[in-house]
Amino acid sequence: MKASRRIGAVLIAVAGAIMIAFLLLPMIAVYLDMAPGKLWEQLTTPVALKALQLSVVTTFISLGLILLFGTPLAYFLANHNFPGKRVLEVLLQLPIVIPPAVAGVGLLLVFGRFGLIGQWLSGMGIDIAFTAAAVVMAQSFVAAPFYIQGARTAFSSIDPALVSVSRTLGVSKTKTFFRVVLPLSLPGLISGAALSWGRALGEFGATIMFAGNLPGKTQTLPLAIYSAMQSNLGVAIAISALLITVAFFLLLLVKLAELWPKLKRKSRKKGGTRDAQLQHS
Amino acid sequence: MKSLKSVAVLLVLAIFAAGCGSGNGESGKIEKGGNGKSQFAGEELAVYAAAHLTETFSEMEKVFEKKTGAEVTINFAGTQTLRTQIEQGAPADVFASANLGHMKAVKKQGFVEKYKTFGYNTLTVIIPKSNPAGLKDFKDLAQKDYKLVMGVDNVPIGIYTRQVLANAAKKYGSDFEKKVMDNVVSFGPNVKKVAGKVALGAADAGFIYVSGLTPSVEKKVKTLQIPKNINVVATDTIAVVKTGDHPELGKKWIEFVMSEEGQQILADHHLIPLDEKKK
Repeated sequence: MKASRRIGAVLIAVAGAIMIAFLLLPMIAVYLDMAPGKLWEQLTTPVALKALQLSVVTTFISLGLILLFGTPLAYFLANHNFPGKRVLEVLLQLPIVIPPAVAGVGLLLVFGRFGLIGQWLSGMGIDIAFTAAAVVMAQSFVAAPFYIQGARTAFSSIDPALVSVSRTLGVSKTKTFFRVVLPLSLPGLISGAALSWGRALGEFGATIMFAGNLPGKTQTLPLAIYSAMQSNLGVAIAISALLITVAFFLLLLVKLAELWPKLKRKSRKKGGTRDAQLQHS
Repeated sequence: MKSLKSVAVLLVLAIFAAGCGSGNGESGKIEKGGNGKSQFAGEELAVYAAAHLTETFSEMEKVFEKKTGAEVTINFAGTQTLRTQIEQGAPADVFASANLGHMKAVKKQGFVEKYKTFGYNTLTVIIPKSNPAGLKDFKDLAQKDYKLVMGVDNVPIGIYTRQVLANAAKKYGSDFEKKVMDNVVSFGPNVKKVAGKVALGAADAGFIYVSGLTPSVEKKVKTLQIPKNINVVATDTIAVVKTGDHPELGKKWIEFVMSEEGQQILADHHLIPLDEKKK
């Protein structure tokens, strides 16, 4: 009995170690490929800098649009029941699992020069595909579901009684949203937004299809990696290292956002200041 | 409107410059060059090109921009992606394809009128300079015991490698292919990975495109030529796209790619220029 239990424990440990090594080694290898000084040198090449600038600008515009249009939708889904709601929610999650290249083709079929809406826009002299606007749309398409999902869960977990109390005290609906609902769901919203931004930053397949790989215009960091793979592997690895680093801190932020309410509660219970509490934990 | 204005300004400047040139009594030839520049100065050219042309076309871009004063933007992606984009009305002026099938399909749909072959890509076997397995020619690949790497069977390089082996089997006997495959220790997802393994000495031989012989790889490897009657040839074709806004400039780009200078750049990056194929 005891021996078999021990073998079981060893097997679990080995399986776990293999999984950890499999997931971490490829990311670590990127950093081992060259010295940090060389890495920095490759990152400051014009190609990398242009792509970095474009990535920063487009992902923040994408995030802004996702927050603006996604928050009301998530709030509505959290507070209303209607026939077909489940189906709608599944459909809204689809962009997460469909291959990004398929998303890119879909966007082209709608907004391309011959597309459903595109041909009509083109008649008015507006071409979206193969511009920076197309980059933003590709990113928003694949990234929005992460935020909508996160925000919907955060809104759902708020005790409805708190909202009722606020309303019976005569506080308007809008004020209740900003004074009660938003502060309580903030950690969930932040983590949803961070995941969403991370997905937008790494977006490749839909972008290269719908926006093209035009240096300085639509070539974001992941596309620059792709192009550099064909010529200068050093630049490709340097950008990869940058993206992995950014992603790491992003996930750290997500974890902190999730822990935040707990830390706050703890510090209140013990009556200590939050700073003291943080030092303890 | 704005871009029209800047084109006009550049035009005036260029004509002025050309005028100055002739005023200084320069030769007619240079004056002609000046006129060519004024015609396209500031105009934007969108070239949609297959990914393996990244280095080659990037270098051509610099030379062409200097020559014409035009502004070239190149969209490098897989040929299949470029084809889809063109079919959906992408503002492409020029399409350079790594695969004849895709070019033919685009032509059939009326997006291009005619296309031209501008170069070829073919396969070669690379071995480390130290040649630890003592491989001397292509036939040795089926006779010796060594470590071989090749592309996975669903990427172009892997498909071409298997075609070469199938051709060799027809020529040298059916067990040739099997004997070579017995030596495979690893399948790489792309040419870069295969070349890297051989360059680092982790493998004794590998199949790659000749265009994969970049300077950093070339420093560390030798090549075993694949006999011409066995080797496969990928044809690179180029065409002006009808949905583009600058057909004249597009024609100029193609002329440049086909010119002696363009073909030389092609050869510098280990693609096979037109006249070399004929030899």
